[in-house]
Amino acid sequence: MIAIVQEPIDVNALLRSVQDEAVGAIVLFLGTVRNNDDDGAVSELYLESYVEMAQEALKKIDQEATQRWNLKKFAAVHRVGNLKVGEIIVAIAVASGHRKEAFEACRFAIDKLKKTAPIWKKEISGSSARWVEGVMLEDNQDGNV
Amino acid sequence: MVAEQKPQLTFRVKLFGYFREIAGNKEVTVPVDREQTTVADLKLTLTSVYPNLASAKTPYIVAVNRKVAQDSAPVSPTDEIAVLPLVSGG
Repeated sequence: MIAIVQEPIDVNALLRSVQDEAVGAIVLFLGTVRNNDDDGAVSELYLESYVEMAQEALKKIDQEATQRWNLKKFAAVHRVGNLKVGEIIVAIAVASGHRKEAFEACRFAIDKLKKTAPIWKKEISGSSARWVEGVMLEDNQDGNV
Repeated sequence: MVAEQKPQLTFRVKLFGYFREIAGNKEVTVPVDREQTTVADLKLTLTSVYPNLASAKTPYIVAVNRKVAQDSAPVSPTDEIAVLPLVSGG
């Protein structure tokens, strides 16, 4: 399951999508809206994405992680739109035969997503708002697998 | 002579995040008088047509057909072109 969605992320559906009889370990990462950043309080986030390109980036992460750690299943869903404090921004579920691979691959996947998925975040605090200073998008065409 | 006139071609450029906001539009058009140009030339034309994008002084990359493109890469009006500011997903 790879998706960029407007609606709240269904974590149970995500977990069901990576269950398999050959799986011995599932690692789930959830990124959630924090009520603060370096400059103060945050009440809401607005997220937008270049959806088609972001989906391709997620697919490449899936392929690379699956090959590198011999994963059984991989799922990643990223939300866009207006999100309140505590809501889930991104969910990644990685399933493998054993826990070591699942932990490593999940860490790899979220780190790679932050660098290769064209997604932007705006922090809203009361009446003020600012786009989060991010990183230059990296190309992942030649994912070294 | 019609045959000698250079047609004015329109490149459509998708904008995201901060750039979309300051341009007030998800997509802008950039007139170019050649059928093919480079990413570098397109950036120059884009910022001359939309000076508030230039004054934003924020780093960005250009994606052509959903892939990160270098300044020297060729682009044509049929390509899907997008301007991507610093990303902050996850």
